Amino acid sequence: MPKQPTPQDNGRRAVQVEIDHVNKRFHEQLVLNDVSFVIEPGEIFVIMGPSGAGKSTLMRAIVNLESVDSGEIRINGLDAFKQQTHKLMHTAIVFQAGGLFNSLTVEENLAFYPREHRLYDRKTLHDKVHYTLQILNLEGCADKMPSQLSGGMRKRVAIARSLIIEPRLLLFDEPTSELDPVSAANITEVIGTLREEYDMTSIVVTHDRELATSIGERIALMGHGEVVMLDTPDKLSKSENPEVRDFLYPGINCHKPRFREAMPAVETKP
Amino acid sequence: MQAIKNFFGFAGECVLVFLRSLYHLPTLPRQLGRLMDYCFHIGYKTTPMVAVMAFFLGAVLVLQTGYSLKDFAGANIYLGRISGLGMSRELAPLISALLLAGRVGSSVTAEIASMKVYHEIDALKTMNVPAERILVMPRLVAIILTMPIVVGIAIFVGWYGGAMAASQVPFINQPPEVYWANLKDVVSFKDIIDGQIKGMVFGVAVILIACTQGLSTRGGPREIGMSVTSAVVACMVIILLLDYLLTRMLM
Repeated sequence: MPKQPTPQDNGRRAVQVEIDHVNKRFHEQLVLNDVSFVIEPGEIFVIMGPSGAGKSTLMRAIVNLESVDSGEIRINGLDAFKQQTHKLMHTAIVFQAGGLFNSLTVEENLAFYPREHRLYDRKTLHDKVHYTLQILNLEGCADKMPSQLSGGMRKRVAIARSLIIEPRLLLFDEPTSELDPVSAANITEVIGTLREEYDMTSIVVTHDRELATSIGERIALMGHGEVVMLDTPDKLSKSENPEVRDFLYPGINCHKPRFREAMPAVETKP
Repeated sequence: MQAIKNFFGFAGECVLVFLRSLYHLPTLPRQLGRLMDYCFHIGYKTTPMVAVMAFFLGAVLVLQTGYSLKDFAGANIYLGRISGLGMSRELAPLISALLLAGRVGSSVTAEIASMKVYHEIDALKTMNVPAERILVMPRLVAIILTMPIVVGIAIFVGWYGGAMAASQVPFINQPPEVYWANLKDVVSFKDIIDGQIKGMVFGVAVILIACTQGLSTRGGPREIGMSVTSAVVACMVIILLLDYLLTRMLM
């Protein structure tokens, strides 16, 4: 039975996200299989798993870019498949490739949403854009086109663009992919500090184990469309579950029978 | 069977995109900058190429007709009539639309398809800004505003090309006054308006097909190229189909 909307936030800006028995098929392939969990307000929640595990589909469903076959997703009790919910809950997403508008400058990218929705007057918008650029060390980039920026800077501009709406729920899709270690560390630090600055819930979708364990307060490990394990990074790393160990420590599970069976038998001389 | 299904599926998508764009029409006053930009890219930048093509098309039309009629004494008097009606009712809107399909249609599809592939359209959706509102509707308005001007220029330049050919080619050798007098006798204001209507309908079809194809692109860079090719081919076919239907209706 659907829950009654509860927009009351208990004094917090950060929102709660409930994933409730979500199923999704692409043609005949099951990509989300009865996925259920709750992300608490203010949490940095990581959805981790190998490629094809269904994590990106789940993230797209949370922001209403993908429909589901059955189940519900609620943000503070409101249906996530209604566009109005995302407007109320200030939902924003940082795409893997940034999703920046390549025909607009960095400043225009940041100002795009407030301008389209007429949120601020010209001066307030200008101040807000430059303050946000400052937070992310992008002061000198306002007039640059996205194509003139490095991968790390593009990611930071994408984060800055999502911060302009003062998000209550911010999703990151593979935030450190295609980045050098220094830029990746920088983005990791940014994700950590933003939560304190904005009091928001963060969902990070990644297959980067280092990122997941360093910033995630809880991690949902997905495989074949299911949640294999959901726990703190500490408990996850100590797990004896073979699928979890397979993902976290690839290549050191050769003792497993299926690997032994796949290996050619070695004849030993007496 | 699958091709027919795909065709009707795509036609349905075009209709939906058109209706959604109409829904966002009241936001036009807030998008005047964008509208001017699209008018510039669609109209102003297309006009020189259309004029060049129309000039030579008008000249060739008179040349071929003059060559065919040269054995019939006095038949050259009809050159102005043929060029006048041919350019205004048929060739000017057609050549403008075909050029528009190749030049504007392909670039619009490529732009929107790459926006789709690189998640810019997804970003718009998450910002609660429908793609039809800022990418399709202003372009449709821009084409409706600029196409009559482009077609009008094509008509007059085509007539002028015909006059040049009629007076300069030795075996035609028709004075320009005769050509223009003959043209004025037969061409009415309605013929020019018919040409403008055709141009506008073709233009709207090109923009709708190009935008819908771009928005329905999935995959990577390879699919962007495939979408552009599909859009241009679909535009050409639809222009010719609409041309026949409109000609029958306007006759």
